[in-house]
Amino acid sequence: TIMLHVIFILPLLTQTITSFGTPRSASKPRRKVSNLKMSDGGIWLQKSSIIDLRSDTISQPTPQMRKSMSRAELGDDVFGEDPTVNSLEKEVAVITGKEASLFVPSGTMANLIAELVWCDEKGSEMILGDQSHMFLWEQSNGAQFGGISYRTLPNLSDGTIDLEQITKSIRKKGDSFSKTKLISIENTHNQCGGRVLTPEYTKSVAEIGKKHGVKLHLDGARVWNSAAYLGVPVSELTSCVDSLSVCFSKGLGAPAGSAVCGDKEFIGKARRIRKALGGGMRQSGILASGAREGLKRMLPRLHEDHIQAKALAYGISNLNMPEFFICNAEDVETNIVMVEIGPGLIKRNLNSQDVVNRLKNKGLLGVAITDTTIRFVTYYQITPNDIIKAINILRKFLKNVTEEIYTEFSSDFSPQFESLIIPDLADDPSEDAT
Amino acid sequence: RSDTVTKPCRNMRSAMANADVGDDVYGEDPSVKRLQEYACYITGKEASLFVPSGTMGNLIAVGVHCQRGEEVMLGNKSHMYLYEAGGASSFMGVSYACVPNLPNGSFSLDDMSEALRDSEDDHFPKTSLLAIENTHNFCGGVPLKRDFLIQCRKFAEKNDLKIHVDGARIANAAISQKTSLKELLDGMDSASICLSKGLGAPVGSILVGSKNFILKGKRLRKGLGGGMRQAGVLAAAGLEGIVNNLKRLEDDHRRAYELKRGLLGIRGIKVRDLGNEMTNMVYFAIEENYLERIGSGTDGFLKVLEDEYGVLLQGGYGAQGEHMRAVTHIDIFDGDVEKCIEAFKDITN
Repeated sequence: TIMLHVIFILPLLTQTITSFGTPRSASKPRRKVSNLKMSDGGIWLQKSSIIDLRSDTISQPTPQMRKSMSRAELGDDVFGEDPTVNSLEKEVAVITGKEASLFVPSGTMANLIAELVWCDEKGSEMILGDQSHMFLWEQSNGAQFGGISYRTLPNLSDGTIDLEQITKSIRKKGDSFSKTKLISIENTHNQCGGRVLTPEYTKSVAEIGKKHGVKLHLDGARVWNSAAYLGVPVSELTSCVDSLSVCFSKGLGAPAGSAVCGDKEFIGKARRIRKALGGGMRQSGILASGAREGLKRMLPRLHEDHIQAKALAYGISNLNMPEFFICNAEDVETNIVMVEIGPGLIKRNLNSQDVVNRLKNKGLLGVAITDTTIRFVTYYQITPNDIIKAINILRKFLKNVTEEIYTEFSSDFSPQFESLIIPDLADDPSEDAT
Repeated sequence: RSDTVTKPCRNMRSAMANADVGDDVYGEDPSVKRLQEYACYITGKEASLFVPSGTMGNLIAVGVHCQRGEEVMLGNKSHMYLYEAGGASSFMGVSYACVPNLPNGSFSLDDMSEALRDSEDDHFPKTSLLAIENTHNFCGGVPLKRDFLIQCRKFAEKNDLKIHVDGARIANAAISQKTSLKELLDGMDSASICLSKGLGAPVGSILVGSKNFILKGKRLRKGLGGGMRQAGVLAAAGLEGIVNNLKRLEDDHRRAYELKRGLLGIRGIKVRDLGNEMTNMVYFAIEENYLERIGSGTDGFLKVLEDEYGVLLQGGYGAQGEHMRAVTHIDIFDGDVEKCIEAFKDITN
């Protein structure tokens, strides 16, 4: 451990000091080197004590990533000459069991490219879940830029779509009808709570696609987490799909970037569309080297994030206040925890955004993903201590709310409120809290 | 081949490695914010946006300034028309109204008036955007003349058009004309400025415009998939480039001028001579009788240059693709220019 500290901290210190050398350098002014935080994922400078569980995209590049980024061999990727990008694309292709892959600035672009490649005819239609990221959170860009119509089917709570419904929704031939060109599934499914789709389910959907001549795209922004949960190689989840997108900037911790994968013909078309959309970057090996580090060092440790998420979920459900927070810890499979706002809070006119704002004041960040649900996401910079602190913050929030209720109704005090009073907890976690 | 091949120097690599980053989609990346603030300062515009490429910068500009079914007026030799895969039409539903480019990168007022259309007649789409390119790549890397800029501003004001400047190499224009980016962009509604070319950054462009324009532009950037997370890694290098590498573009122009002078003296090479108006590019071709003797044409010539002399150039320009282009940049030194001229002399001899 001492050696690790020496190897990692000393270069970090010297880097910080030498970067101030150049007078015309545009780098930032001197900052205190303290508050070093460590987890199994790496070492970083903790700038504030706020526990940021908004998303795994918040994850910062590790010191190793920064080093490899600064040393990356570069070239002009529009000419296909960036060796780091080329290496990354080959590695991702191998990991996902596809012929080729293409590095793009974001998952949104990766999904858009897939939509535009497969839905290449006018009047194309795409089947996807009504809770999917591609439908809810990507600005309907397939419709906006590609004239593709979205056919949404209900997502079940486990992230899947009913197979029979998919089959029934595939358009028949006829001049009245648009043409179903693509089915899209999401693994892990974000809005449903980071739920994992099994290889069996993926294969079943792929079979439906093959039977009806419809392509299958996998939004695999967090497919790494899915594979980690199931304990299977990524290719088991991806080899049967026609194309997929993966993200490097989430659990893998890279600063930016995603990839879209498929066969050589698909990637050839994807490359053209990437350029047309404005995603053709030059010496993007900088970002690709971060992504490669992520695949090498962060991919094997993703199950740790799942453990923290599970701990958080159980911590919340063990608060045992279903009138205020509802959390099904058994349904937590990966690094996402969904907490529903209970009737007790709704009655007090508090929706999820109000709760999020109050938690922010107490030092915990989450996202109000719907009006009545808060999402928390774990990643390598969220330590077990952070989880304990987060649960304490939630506990304090509940204490405040119940105190408010108590003072409102204190004139006619009734016994049912007794159980709501929580004993005062110190900041340090006690046996109880653990 | 291009000034896009420039690799980041040690200072830039250090800035990138130490960059203070955050999630830029949440607007929390301090390095991106710093670059964007500096861009506003140096261009005199209200707001700015870091984008992965100049193509996206131009595409966003069309998407914001024009509604579906409207028209963008631009030069028939412009990069936006020729080299951006028709994105304005395929993604934004906007049609291209081409105006003939004059040799100095401008267009005549008559041609502009002829191409202008308004939707009072149901047959016509409305021209809502005028796009100009400064420096103009295919016209030889020429900076646009002040008179033309004034002409454009007046025309746009009179006809209620917005102006977007494809300023991929506007830094070169500013240095060449000994003026500032602010002056060149005065009165323009938006501009896309590349950081990855002469300024030497690895990736990215900066789109500048009014607050309202950038607000809509940010939304379009997300929809197109250009919303990166810890983009400060790239923005830090971009800031280094725009702060430190502006002045040295003079050296690129000087080397391009020397290259041109050297090529002018070689029999068998005909050079497009733009006098003092050139920046960092030289366009030239091999004379026909020499080409016959070489046998394998321009491609063969380029291959020999690459294999035997280690000089890489871009070919395929001009009406029959017989023109070649040489671009000087941060990774080209004085000795390289001499070597290049020697190589040409050798081959033609």
